[in-house]
Amino acid sequence: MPELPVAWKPQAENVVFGKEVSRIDGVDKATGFAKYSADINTPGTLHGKLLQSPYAHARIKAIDVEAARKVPGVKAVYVFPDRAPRTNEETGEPIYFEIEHEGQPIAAVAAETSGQADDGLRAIKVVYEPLEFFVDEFHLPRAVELGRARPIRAAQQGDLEGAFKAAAHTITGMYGIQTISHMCLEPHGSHCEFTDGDHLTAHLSTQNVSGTPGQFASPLGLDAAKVHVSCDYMGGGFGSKFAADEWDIACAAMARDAQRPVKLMLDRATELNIPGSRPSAFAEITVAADADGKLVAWDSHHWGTSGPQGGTVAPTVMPYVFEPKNRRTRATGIVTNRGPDRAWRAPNHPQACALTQTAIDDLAAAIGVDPYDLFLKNLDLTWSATSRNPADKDIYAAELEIAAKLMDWKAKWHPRGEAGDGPVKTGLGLALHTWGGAAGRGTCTVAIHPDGTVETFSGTQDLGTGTRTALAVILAESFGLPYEKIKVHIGSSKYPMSGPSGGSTTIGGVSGPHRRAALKALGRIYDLVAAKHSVDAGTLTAANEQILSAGKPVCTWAEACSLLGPMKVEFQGEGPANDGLTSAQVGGVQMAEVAVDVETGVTKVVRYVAVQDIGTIVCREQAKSQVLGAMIMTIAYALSEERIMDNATGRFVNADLQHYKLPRIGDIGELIVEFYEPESQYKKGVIGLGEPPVISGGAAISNAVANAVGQRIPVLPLTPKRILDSLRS
Amino acid sequence: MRDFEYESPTTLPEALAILATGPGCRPLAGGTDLIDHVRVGRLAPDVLVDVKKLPELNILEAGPKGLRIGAATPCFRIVAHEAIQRDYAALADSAHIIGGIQIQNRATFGGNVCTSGPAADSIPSLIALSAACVIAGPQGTRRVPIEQFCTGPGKNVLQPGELLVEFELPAPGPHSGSHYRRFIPRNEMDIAVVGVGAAVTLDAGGQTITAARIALGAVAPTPLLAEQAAQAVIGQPVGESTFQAAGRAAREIISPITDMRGTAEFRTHVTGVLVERVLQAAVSRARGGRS
Amino acid sequence: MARKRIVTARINGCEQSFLCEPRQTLLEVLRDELGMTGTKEGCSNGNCGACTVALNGRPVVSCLVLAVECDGTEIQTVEGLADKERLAPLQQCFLEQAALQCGICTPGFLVSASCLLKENAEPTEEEIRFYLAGNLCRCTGYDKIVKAVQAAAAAD
Repeated sequence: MPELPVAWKPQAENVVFGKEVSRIDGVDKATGFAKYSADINTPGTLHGKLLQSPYAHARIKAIDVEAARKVPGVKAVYVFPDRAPRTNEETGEPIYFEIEHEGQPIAAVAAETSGQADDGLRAIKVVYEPLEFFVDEFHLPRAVELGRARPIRAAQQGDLEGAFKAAAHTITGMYGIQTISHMCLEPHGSHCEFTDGDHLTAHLSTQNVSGTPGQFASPLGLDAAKVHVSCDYMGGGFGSKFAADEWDIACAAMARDAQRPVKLMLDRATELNIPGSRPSAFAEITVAADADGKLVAWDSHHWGTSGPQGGTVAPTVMPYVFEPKNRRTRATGIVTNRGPDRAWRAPNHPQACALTQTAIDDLAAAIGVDPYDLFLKNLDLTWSATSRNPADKDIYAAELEIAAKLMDWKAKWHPRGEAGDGPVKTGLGLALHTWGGAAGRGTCTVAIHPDGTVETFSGTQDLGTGTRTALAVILAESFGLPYEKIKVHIGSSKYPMSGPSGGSTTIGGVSGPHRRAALKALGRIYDLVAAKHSVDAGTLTAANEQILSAGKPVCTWAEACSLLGPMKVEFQGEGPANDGLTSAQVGGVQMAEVAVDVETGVTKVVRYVAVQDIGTIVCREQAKSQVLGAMIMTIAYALSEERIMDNATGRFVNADLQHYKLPRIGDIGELIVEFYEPESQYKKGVIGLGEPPVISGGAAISNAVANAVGQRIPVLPLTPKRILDSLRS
Repeated sequence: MRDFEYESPTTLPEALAILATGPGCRPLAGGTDLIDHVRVGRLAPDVLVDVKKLPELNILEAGPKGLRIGAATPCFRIVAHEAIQRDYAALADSAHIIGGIQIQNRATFGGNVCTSGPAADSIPSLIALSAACVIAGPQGTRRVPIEQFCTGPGKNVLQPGELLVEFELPAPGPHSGSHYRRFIPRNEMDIAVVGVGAAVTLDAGGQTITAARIALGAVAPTPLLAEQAAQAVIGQPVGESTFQAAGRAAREIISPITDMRGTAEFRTHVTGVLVERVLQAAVSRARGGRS
Repeated sequence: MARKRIVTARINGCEQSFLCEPRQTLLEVLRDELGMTGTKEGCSNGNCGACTVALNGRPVVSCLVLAVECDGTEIQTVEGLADKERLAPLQQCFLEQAALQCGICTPGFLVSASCLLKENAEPTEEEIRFYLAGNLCRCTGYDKIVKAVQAAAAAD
């Protein structure tokens, strides 16, 4: 027969695809049997720990690790590259390593017990020459004065001056959003073990199983073929776990030295500090509308820091989603001595949204209109994340309507500040977002055994999102099998290459190849069944563990597979491909209802609605979980979560979970998730969902607080202190 | 974590004998502060002396004369104690919000008091309810009013070799009520930015405050007995203006610092708000209960 | 170096003896000496609850308990929740309600919630949220955890 057409099944025929299913790895996770990197305890495993700089900026004048080597239990000591003073061969001058932020690793120790590793670290002597440091990302003039400000880009379009002059309504304001950490509940790190002399197995907590062997191999002087990276389970990455980091290299190097396995996971303080942060951004914004409330002009200058690299939010995403025709965007990065940035879930978007859509909300308040109406009126100015082509404004309009219904917006909304008497004020806010989510690269091998067993091998990874379950669902739906029966093998660099999990590229990246491989397999099986049972291959389908012809059972799945011969048969899948299985471009609307105690400044998100379009849904329950998880991360950065740097010492003073404030289960109000899914969405193809739902809630919550208390609290997170300071000034 | 020895005496004399061997000995009760302090290197004890097996430190009894709480009594026992819920409610309030459930199952009032943090949640309640600390040591036993126990952040009156054994609280008179509340940014699991404990006694009609003790946490180097704030309400009719007067008086006597949890100005403002709200709640308990 | 101690405790119903240094926490011993890695290390200072175990029936954070303090105690970890081949109803509800994602906080939530349901068979939503406040999650959204505990309470 001709090859089966590449497509998802018609929506109405799906049994498990797009439905609510339990995770196939749920039992392992709920019983404690799931093994994460920190849980690998092969015999003789040593405990690795890091010695880190207490200074934000310093030169290392001397390091002495000899005493550490003699500490009982210590089996290996490692000094990070270039940390020890060297001599310039030409000039004879000493070269000292320059520490750029507090917590930067200097040395590492591996010992029999965790306590002995601590003993070893205490025995290392380091002489520092402290240098001037700068960690203030907020006060731009100070950064300029100290030469730490770097203009990034200015972009201008249209007739700015003329547009502002002609505008009926103009507001100018200051807005901001602080730096946060990724705060993966499972910290970064690995368990490294050498076998057969120079073969390294690294159990690495990574978003990039297929891409990290080479990153180990090169600094260790190994062939990449001799490195096996394994990550069966991991506890979140959020964009911070793409690399074999320098502490992982240290772990492997110590394992090689000691000829023993070594495990080195970052402790919580270090996890908060060094393996990534989301850059801050602060902005001065002027935005104008005509008498009708149409946005006509935008002028912004934002600044912030990404740490020693001196970046800030990419100016290309400013203004966010709404793009008046006349506009100017400027940006300045600040070089600071704080932990470096890494991609944080929807890089740039949450900050840009928090700056832009708060300003637009302020404009609505200044005009005296419901922001719902102003947003609706300006949907023709929205752009798409994928192309900067105009967004589908009908989708946004539909999503606004759905969200408003779920929030009961029109009944509850009141003009800004008119929240009645009493200390607790309630308010509503909204914002919207865009994201691409195109499929990443991926390959897989789907093996079908003569007894009907189906397994798949793919070098992708499950960050906790449910990738493993999604693969089982795709194959189960394709073959008409119970999804629990599909054996899914992922998380090993020995499996067919799959791309890193970032930017919401995973689900598209793995689902396309799996469906393609499944269709190839089905084509072969249908041909064999057709020949054996004298039926037309074109009439065959697979369902209920049977092969059916025009709906009538022909044989069981296992009988059909036995026709493949005595050996298992493998089918390869690849992607991405432009065949309609996957696509890109989603959007969403979020609305928040808050209650603010204006005597104490404490804010609660009472009700929080997220409406999201995501194309074809593979696993409904897991998709919903992605949105819910994004919503609590959003409440975190909107209300309580931030890195607090001490300008006097250069230290990250709240680098522990007592003071780095994430919402707890009692801090979360009612969360409502709704997918926008008319038939057209199912036909769109699979699109990633990890990033989009974490983008617009910050602006929505800030807008709700402004609506409640009667004025903008300019900088997120909206802590009680910031709220009271604003209200009392 | 640094190396240390561990001892777990079962009698008070045995415990005191170990503690007398040197300043490197440190009592271990619930450990919820101490173990972390050792982990991060803030403390480097040679010997941890587990005091949880000492019967004297596990007493929890209420009678006509008052209440005795052994220093090693974990918070969960205090929360669940009926007489405490009824007559010493501020203590139950404190015990109920120290950390989460996991912490409350280990942490003790004795440990909380001996850590002597300015923000300790148990101390304002103990001050409001006039607790005395019973301290045993090489020189015998002495009693110190709780408001005099702490001498600075992390510092207290305990001399080398001394051990806090129990708290003694007088029985409150009729028409009394008490409450503790703190300001924190999240619902649970935060360290107090400001903490306020208050105990009030009303006249038989429930309209006039005849006695009051108000205590403030996290707004000075040690938890404070706010006598001026109490004076502002004693003899005054129950009502908003009375509570506001106490709030104003409280703001006058504090010396808060600015740190990552809050600025001095913010703490000053919140102190007034909390004093008003806590007095309101204490009065309502004084009216509602038998006490 | 302090001498090692022998500690005997009943862990998940089986009496076990182990050697430990005084400075080793219960968490360290469970994970490193006894190979029971279901109990997770999240923060080491009692703020995340990932290491929650039941000590004599009450949830505690095992990172703030010394192993030497556990002589003669009864300890239950996540590995002891299921009854041999069958998941406990609470675990089943966590699966059915999709109350877990990455899974690092899950063992702690399960142990805490199982203690809650033993203390209070019909907790209100507020009581559930209060009791579980010591357990931190970064990615499920909490919503489904509350629903799973409610479902388990209703099932009993």
